[in-house]
Amino acid sequence: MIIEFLVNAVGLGALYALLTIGVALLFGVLGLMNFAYGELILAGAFAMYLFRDQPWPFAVLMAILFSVVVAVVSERLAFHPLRDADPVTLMIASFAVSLALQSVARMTVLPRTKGVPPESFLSHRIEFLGADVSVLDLLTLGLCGVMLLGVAWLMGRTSLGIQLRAAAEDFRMASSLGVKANLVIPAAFVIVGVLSAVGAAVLVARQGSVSAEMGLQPMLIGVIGAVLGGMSSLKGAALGGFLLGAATALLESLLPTDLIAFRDAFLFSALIAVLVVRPQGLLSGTKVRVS
Amino acid sequence: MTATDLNPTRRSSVLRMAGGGIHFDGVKAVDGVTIEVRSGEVLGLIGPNGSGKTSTLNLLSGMLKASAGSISIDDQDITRLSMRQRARRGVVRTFQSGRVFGRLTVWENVEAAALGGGLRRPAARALTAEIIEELGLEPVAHDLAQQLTAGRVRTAAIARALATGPRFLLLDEPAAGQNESEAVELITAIRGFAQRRDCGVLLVEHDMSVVMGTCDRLHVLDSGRTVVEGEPATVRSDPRVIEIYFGKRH
Repeated sequence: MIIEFLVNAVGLGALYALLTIGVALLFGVLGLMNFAYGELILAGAFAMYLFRDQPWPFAVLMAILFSVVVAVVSERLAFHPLRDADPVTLMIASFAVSLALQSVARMTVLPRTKGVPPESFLSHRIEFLGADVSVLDLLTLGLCGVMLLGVAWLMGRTSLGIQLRAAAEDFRMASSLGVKANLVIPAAFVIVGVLSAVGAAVLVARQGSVSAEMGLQPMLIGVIGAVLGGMSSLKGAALGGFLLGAATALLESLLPTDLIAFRDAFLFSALIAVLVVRPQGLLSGTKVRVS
Repeated sequence: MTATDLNPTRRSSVLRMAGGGIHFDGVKAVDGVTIEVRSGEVLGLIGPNGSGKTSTLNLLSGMLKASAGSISIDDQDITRLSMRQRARRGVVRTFQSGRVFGRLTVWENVEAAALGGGLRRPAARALTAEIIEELGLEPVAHDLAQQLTAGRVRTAAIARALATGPRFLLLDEPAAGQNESEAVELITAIRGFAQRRDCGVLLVEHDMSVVMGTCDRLHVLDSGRTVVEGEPATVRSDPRVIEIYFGKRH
């Protein structure tokens, strides 16, 4: 029971952390609060639908391809021309991109919700550390965990990661040191594309359907998790997302059945309480300034 | 053997302001100053408070626009270039406040700058190790910059500026808040590094005793004008310098 709960809670936490990093990374590097993030997830989810008869790993690869292409194209067409614009302009632009992509999807390929039959292997239950857990929960945990480790490695150990983190903390200072905007910004979009595709693959498997609006909730989770953790710190964002996911899972198993419908009310009340105490987010460090 | 011999790939050059001036609300902060920083040397820019030292540095770095005079690197005029454009030509400044990336380690701060300067990873790491060792930052190399003391933050900012491979490095009181022996140690380390890489250093400093032993030449300002320039020993014995600088203390 405990193990089953832990696998579920940690898995959901890892998924939310993944979603949150996607939001925080672009916010850090570009000052972009990317509301079009949900549509990157939609692109990946649509690939999962399109390739639903292919082997699952192949569909996931296609989802990554779709999301990355949409991410890079939206950077080129919408955000690149606005690179020096202020954050509000960028945010409005991201709303526009979000609505445009969503409407195009609704008009063309997804006028209504489409079912994606769950892969049979995902609905199996197996014995894990003496507990009976579903393959889907384990896969959520494993895949999201591996992605998080991958991001941690990329950010912490590679030359791209060092430059990305420098740019995410203070873009102007980084570019005055020679860090190239044309390297870090597209790289950030590619990473965000990959993260959202993996998120999409897991979400589609969990909910068994794809619709034009499906990006909204994960995007909100990403934004809220990032705010909770501290917008400008990737570690903080990951922590915020993780706590949000784990708390959701906890509420789902602890709340009496009558109250489960109000889960989000409990969750977001707790969020408000946290932000009253720490409005800057959990891990947002103060800027170093010595005078 | 001179510094130029050690680094034959980079010819020696001169950052020069000729008759530069700027005024704030009618007050001439800098008034017709001609100053030269040569590659491989450390030029100390000294003078009493309000004498125009930092403004002169800002004119050279492009942070302030000169209202008179011109600024050039060798024969190339850079008067109209922005701070960023000048930085691309190798004129790099640090701030008194020493801003660093707080959530990166000291090592990563320096490496990010080395990578930004266009080095590949192995070369960037080698350069980072060298700078960190020379500036005495090893004990804190893997600490987050936001955990450092004020003095270390400033040193880390200088380390990062060195890692960009500047041709001219403009330092505004790099040793502020440190005691004299620490200041001399830091500036000596910067000087050694600058000489080996043929980088010219302009050092704004208010403490005469610090610059005496560490600078190749001194340039003394008072009320926005040049009083005297030359080798430390000559400058020190100049009666005008004694009057405006040492005279005030007695």
